[in-house]
Amino acid sequence: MTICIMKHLSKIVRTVIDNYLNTRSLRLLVFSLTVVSCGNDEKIEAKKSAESGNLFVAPSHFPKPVYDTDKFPVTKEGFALGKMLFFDDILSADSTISCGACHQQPFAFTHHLHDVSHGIKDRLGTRNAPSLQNMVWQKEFMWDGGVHNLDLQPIAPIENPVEMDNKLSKVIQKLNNTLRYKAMFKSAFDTEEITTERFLNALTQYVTMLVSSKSKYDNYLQGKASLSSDELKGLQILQTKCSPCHSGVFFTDNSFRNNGLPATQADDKGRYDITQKEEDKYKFKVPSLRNIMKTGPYMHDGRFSTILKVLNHYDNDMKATQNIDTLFTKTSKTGIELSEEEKAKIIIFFQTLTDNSFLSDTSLALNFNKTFR
Amino acid sequence: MRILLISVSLYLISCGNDHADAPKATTGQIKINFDNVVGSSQLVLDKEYTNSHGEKYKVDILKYYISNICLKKADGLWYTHLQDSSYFLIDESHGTYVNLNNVPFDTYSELKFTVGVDSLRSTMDASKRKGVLDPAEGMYWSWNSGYIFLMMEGTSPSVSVSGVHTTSGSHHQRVESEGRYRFHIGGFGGYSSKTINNLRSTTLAMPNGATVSGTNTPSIHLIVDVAKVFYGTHDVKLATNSVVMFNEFSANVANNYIKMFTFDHLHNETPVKNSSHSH
Repeated sequence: MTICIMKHLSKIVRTVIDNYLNTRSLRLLVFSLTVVSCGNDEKIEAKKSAESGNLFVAPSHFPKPVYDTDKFPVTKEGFALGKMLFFDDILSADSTISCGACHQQPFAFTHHLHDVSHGIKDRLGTRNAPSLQNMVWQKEFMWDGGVHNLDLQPIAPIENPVEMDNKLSKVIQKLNNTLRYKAMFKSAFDTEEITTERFLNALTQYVTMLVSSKSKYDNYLQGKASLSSDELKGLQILQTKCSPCHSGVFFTDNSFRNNGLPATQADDKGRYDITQKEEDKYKFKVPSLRNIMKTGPYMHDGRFSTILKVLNHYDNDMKATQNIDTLFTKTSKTGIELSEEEKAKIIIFFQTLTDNSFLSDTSLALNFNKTFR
Repeated sequence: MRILLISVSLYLISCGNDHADAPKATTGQIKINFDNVVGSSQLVLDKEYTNSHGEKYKVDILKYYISNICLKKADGLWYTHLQDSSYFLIDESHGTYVNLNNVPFDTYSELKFTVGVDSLRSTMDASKRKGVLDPAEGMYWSWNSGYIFLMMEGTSPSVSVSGVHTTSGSHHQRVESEGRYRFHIGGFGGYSSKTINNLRSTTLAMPNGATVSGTNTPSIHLIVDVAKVFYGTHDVKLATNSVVMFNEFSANVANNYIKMFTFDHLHNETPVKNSSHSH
């Protein structure tokens, strides 16, 4: 309540400033503000505050989420709805693929064994399906960072011609014509009316819960487990040779970099598509290394089938293409020198990043028996 | 209960010195008509026109966002229309006027607005994207979160069916042009990295002023000459620029189209509730 009033007060203050020369209209303006701002927002918030708590709890050894998980908490009903939507083919134009088709839980929500994924009608994309984990800590999404808000992310695969090839408006319409969803939206948002905002919020509630924080490495960080000497050695090599790109609790600095992949026919310019800046050509987002042993194939186009091939690339096969990161060009040989033993140690360490409790968490999987009683 | 309490607290703040007299009306309405034309004739969708480069073309989609409307008051200061109620989508096939409500009584001499959706709104969360700002409206880039400020599409014999010229980003754009041109102009300046900014504003003088009063509802008519998309600050030729979307060239189109708005005339209407377009 207090927070809500404060929010409105700050709005009023802003309005007062905006209209300080126009005091006669203040009363009416303020009145209309109440009407505007206490509409749909309030319904969502009212429902949420009615629930006793937020299902999402940030792990104590993680930083504060980027996404506002207090403003947009996860409710039991919202999560169940979001999960249903995530695994429903109804989102694609011909009702053949779901989000879950390319984002599979046992592989940290990547598309196992697929360099690039196939959308409807087996249309091939140009990029590897990224892992969905710890999403509320990410600032920008997609390999090129084109989407800057977690809520807005699902629209991209829904409307991409080589993925679901649908229109958001058609999805909303279709859901509004589905009795099962009307009931689920009613229980999540106290209204049967399905809007873009509620639809996106529900999906985000599910995605918010995709948290990987219980790997052996996490236990080590929290003093609950110790690493073997080989694992520790691997960690040290990683910290020395793969930092600052793969640093921090998520093993990414969330930057966009060119890591010297030889050009392919696709000529994917990465971050350049978003910024149209010459200096961003061939740069891609540095991915997290969590669950890395499960998320192959690797790179933005899935060109490497194993992690050893990735390490060999950094050691031997990098090409000094346009905008290659200067971290790789410090010595005469482009890349990161890694001995075979170092590679082996890194891979041993990588196993400690596998979070089986996340990969096999049944609450994240669609339970048909429960859902379709 | 919650809303009631909020209202009470609002009342305390905004009505501190007022007495609870019946409120006298101090605001009215303004209607702004965006009369889309080609040269001197009214735009007709699917009708053939010739642009300044001698290229024949038809328009079948014309949509643009108008936002952040301001009006210059008699005292020379600006009235800013309530931001939350200041986003409109002009669509040649659905509606080409906007009604501003709760406009304070005054005589306004200038009108200012933005074509597009400002950067602040463009980075807000989904709860602030309702009505015409709903991404489901289709004036939205899903892969590069942002609104399409102006969408103009149609056909032209100057656009070759094969070997279409695309300067668009390589990102999943389906380009299967059959003599079709597509201008999707957007770009609010970027979220974390400075990118294309095609936000443009224009200020138009209204020589005799637009008076909003208890007896007057001005109906402002702007002439919007679509032909100006093709020339002005930069020549935009269909033969060479048939697809302009998220790329540097788009600024040329934006610089041209911001000049297509001119004030034509206004007439006063007697205020009526739910006034409909009567022209």
